[in-house]
Amino acid sequence: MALAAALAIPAPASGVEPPDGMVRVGAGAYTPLFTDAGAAAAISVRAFNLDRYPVTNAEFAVFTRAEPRWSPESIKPVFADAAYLEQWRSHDPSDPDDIGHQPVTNVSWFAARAYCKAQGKRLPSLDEWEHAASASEDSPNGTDNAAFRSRILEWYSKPAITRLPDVEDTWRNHWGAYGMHGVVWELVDDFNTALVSGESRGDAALENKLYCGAGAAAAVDPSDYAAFMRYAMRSSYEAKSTLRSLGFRCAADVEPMEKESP
Amino acid sequence: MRTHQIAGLTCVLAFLISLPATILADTTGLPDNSIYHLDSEWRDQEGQALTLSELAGRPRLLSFVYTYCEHTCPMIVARLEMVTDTIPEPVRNQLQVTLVSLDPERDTPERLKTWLQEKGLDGRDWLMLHGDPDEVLGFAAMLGVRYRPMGERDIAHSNMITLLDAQGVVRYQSKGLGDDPAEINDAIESLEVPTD
Repeated sequence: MALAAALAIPAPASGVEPPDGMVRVGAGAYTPLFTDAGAAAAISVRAFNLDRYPVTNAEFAVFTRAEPRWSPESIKPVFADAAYLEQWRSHDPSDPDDIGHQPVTNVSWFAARAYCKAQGKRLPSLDEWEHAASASEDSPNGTDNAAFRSRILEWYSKPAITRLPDVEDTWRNHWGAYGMHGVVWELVDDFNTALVSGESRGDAALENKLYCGAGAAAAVDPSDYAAFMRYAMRSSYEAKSTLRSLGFRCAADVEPMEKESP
Repeated sequence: MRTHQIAGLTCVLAFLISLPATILADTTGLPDNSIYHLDSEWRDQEGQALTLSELAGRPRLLSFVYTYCEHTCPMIVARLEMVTDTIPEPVRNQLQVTLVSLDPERDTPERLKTWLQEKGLDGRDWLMLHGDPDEVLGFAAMLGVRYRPMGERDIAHSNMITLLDAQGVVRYQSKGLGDDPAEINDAIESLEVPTD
């Protein structure tokens, strides 16, 4: 409850339009890559609000000025690795003609979490993100759309983009969210639910297997390869990891805050 | 609950908690790689509030468990008992086993205290930590602990034991129960612990 109270600061009442910069992702269900024995195959996801665009360098720069402990100069190494915001060393993060409108990357999970919290938001859960990302341009569920899946796979098969597009210059999905695929990987709050096993030391070996296309094809339907890649990504990074191709966007609950007093 | 006995302290803590998070915890003097830079609030098995930075001052063997766990948690606990029973007494007096609950809903501070008594661990000076799910996630993520609810009652989780020095720097992590227990003892022996 404390969590809900902390996160739901600007949450509008149910049915009310989402706040500026956010879109409403409707309730639905998505089928995770792996399910626990005996668990239902599909997971229900409640309606939530999601940022229309990934967070940009310019937006993140505003945040680090307000909270300097998250700036590249001051951040403690327990919260981010050495490549944290390294693109800022050679670019002006606030300049819209430079990288200002590009998705911020090289951010750690800790920093992304702190950013969303500062906005009165939170990172989306893994289930929420996957549900929102399963939407194609015109349908809340594009997983049965061969053309949609093929486009996503095409992106996953390409090497990392050298110059990221501005967030507005990406494709828009059914919910109104831009660039859910094809731009950057995106952080989720509960990334560390991926790859639970009796011994986590197996993770490195699994990561190698998961990144191998042949291994993936043998394990699951190859058309789920994109989901497999995301799963592998989440299971391989740590909370302080930063990557050139890893960004984030924030989410928020739809429900109004519960009143503490009658 | 013994909150009435510590009302003064609670008031002070309530005031501190009401301050912005950036100055909540006093982490000055801690090395940059101390995990105690993580701002988060907890309660121990006595219901007493504390921040992570208040754990500085003693080395710790730390693990994430939940008291209703019937699978590997008892083995983690047994391992921790065994290790602390086999280290030299001056170190044992300094080192505090610290267990963080992955099930804050059921593992209330009261439950954590009762569990220690039920297991005959209440005489061992162990610290049990209860935090809200958000804090648990942040702390677990900091140490690379992965966990996920499995069904209604169980939580799958890493069987990791972490050795922190007195300043909250990770000195050793056993990844699983298959690791040689002697590695923990060796790591503990490498700590510089004052012997009074």
